[in-house]
Amino acid sequence: MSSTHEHWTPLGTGALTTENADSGLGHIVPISTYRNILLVLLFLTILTVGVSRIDLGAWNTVVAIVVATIKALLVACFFMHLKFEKKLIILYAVYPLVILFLLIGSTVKDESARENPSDGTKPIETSPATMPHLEH
Amino acid sequence: MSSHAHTGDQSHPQGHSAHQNHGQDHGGHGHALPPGHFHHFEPEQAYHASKFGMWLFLATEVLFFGGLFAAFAVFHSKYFHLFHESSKLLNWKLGGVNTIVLLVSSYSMALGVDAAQHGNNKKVIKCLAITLLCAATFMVIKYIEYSTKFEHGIFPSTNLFFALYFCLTGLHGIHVVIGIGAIAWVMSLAKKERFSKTYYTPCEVVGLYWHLVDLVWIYLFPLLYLIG
Repeated sequence: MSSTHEHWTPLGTGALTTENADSGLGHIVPISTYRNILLVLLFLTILTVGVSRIDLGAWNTVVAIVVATIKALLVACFFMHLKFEKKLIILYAVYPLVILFLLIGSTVKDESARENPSDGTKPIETSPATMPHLEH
Repeated sequence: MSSHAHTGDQSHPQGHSAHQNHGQDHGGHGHALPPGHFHHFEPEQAYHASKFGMWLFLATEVLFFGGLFAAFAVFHSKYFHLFHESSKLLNWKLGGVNTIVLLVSSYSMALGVDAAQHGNNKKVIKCLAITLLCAATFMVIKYIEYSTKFEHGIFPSTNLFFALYFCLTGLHGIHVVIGIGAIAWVMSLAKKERFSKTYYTPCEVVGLYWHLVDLVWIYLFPLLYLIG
């Protein structure tokens, strides 16, 4: 009985006393904040499309990922209330990103270190000439 | 059948009373709770536990999509030219419209959760109806894109880029469809006036899921449509 309570209390500490004086539940964000975030998100969407029209070489990829990450942070922090959450939830929101970073980073590093990429496998079609062509 | 159960009960009178004593000694035993005994916990604890559970689920979702994103990163670096040329065949205007549609749907979902936090069930229905409309619009545009690709003879088997394009957008589309069902469920709860200032867990938890669906698309749009 008491052990059950002790098991659950860490989830409730912090947020219950300090951040949520009104209800003891989730944080309430002013509606105007949501509207401002939406406007910034729409602006960043137009920006990322605009930048992709300009040829910056490899920097196109960098800019696209950076802008997408800013948008993702805005959605997570404000729409998903992550900015106002307890440390435990922030931890569990961040840890899959660390694993994802290791997964993508180590796989790309491993592949780039191999001299013959399609060694031992069926040859992969890399020429765009054989692709169907279509007009927009 | 019922008489058999009755005799079975009588044949173990001692075991039954022993069980009752056990229950009195340790009332509210955590693992022996029958369904529907949520009130043994504080409502605030139930709320925070549910929300934590959803964040755990979202962590698995990130890694679920993560495998495909890793494949995309590897093959994009290996076959840069192929990905670049294939990406040009996608209609970035439709992809961009779908991005805006999903962002607006996330905004109205955030407003819906806010309405639920204030116990305004009518406003929850209005906001989530907009979210639902946006989700349906997204799927219609996705259908137009898919059917156009098929008409032009582009399939998952066309090349590596399109294999990943159909896998990523298909998996994302499945999440949108599940989201539509979840949002409709929350709307049905709001119609029954279930949400109040002290209870709005289902609305907030479904909102978290919907924002993740939006988050995945925020990365998919530039990666697939813009840079390739």
